[in-house]
Amino acid sequence: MLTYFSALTDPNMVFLRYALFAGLLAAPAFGIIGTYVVARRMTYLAGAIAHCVLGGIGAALYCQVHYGMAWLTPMLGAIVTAIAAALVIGLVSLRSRERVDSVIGAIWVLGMAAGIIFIAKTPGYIDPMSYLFGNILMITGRDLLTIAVLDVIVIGLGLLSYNRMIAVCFDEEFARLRGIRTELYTLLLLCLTALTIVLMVRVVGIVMVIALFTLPAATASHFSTRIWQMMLLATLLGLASVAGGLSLSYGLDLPSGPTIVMLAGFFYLVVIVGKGLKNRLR
Amino acid sequence: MPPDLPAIQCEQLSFSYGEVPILTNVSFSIQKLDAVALVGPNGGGKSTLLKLILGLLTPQSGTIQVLGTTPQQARKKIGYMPQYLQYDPSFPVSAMDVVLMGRAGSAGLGRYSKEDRRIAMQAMTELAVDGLASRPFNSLSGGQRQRILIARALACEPEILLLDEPTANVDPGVELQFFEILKALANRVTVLTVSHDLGFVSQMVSRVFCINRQVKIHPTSELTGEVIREMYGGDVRMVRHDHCCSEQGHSHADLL
Repeated sequence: MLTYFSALTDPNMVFLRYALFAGLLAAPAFGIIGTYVVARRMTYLAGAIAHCVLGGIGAALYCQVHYGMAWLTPMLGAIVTAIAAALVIGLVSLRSRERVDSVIGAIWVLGMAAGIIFIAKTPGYIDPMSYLFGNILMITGRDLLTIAVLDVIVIGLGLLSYNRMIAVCFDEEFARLRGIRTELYTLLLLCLTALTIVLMVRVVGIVMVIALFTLPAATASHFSTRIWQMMLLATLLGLASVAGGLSLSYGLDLPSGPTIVMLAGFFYLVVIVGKGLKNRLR
Repeated sequence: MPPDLPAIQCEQLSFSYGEVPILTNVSFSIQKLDAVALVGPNGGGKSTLLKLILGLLTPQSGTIQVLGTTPQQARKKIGYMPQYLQYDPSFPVSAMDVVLMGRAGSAGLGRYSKEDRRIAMQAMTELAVDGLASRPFNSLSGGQRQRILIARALACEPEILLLDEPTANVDPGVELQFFEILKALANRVTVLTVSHDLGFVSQMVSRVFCINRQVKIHPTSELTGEVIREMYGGDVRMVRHDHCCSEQGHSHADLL
């Protein structure tokens, strides 16, 4: 443990510091947006958006190499694709007469497939694993700045729309009758979800990012009677998972993304098993 | 709005889901501060009529005017209590949060003002559930939840109140208290209540609409006591009243 703290201040270990900052910055966004997503039962949509992001990352890498578009960073590709996926998925689920889950499933895998193809066709060694499961060695100072900016946008909009978002999540029909543009709020929530996903793609990867959405919020829901309590608790659990997971992964030499996710899952399991035992003992 | 304009006016209204006609050629008008009960068999079109009044559905033919304008434009002046709340029982909100949703569309970004909170609290006091304000919504009994939802409709400061089965989950003991509350409300706002229970509603409304694809209107002044007994053999549950809305026409049409 002590070595972990000294490593955090070690100038040669700057990546560890970056990863911790990224995680700590992202935790409130995950707590706030994750609570909406869990309460609205939209985790499946969030999963689809997350997996689509690989398409954007792959396309950005491809364009950088083939067309010399150095400005098109994987992070930017991820942001654009995530927003586009959120809007498409949102419009499909609001408007389409197709079976919504089939369409979303299709978007989910097509996004991933496109990403893998782009990466395969990009010369030079790119490990898709680091995008799928996260790699804290890849976090740059610039990424941190992007994360901070997105964080402010997500948390700001998430909190500003608090009352209306709750009204829409709780009873959409009634909210619409009160003159709230419920479709707009649904799309806003999906876009905020998309940006939140991008925040942590570097650290835990696109496959596991959904865990940070659902696990802290689901754990928090067992102790909360109000939405804001759930947000606060989910944020604290997110912070604990990131800080604890990074230190464990450093101490035990484990991959950091999966360790963070395992810790978040451990909190969740402890809570539901504990609750189950408590009910049984009554 | 000029006082002579009806609160709700339907002319030759028809609505069908695909091939299935739900309402055909329905015409009626409800004056301001009128209290009306909608009764009829399940699938007869009661809830559909409410949704048409709210502008959630659009009629295939005919017109519907609410407070002298379209349902969509009048919407904000209608307080609605749905029959089923498709809510997630683990959704963490307090009773007060739910009532405040009646104010959610009011202004700006949807921050609740002191005034919004005062109106919500007043609505809860009126329904005698102000003591439950800070309780989690999912810990309440069915009847308490029902009243919270009526308070939410009331927090909209409506001119028209639409209540879909307000007594569905209410204990018989509480029903009388409920009835007094609704009666008091009927002095202030136009009330439309969907109910299976004419015995309950006939005391607080002035007219009963029997809805089964068509609408037949009965004034309750003539529907009470001996008349009901005479017409329905004393059984108030007869209000479902297939006989009234049968194909053969209307045996007691002279009551209109």
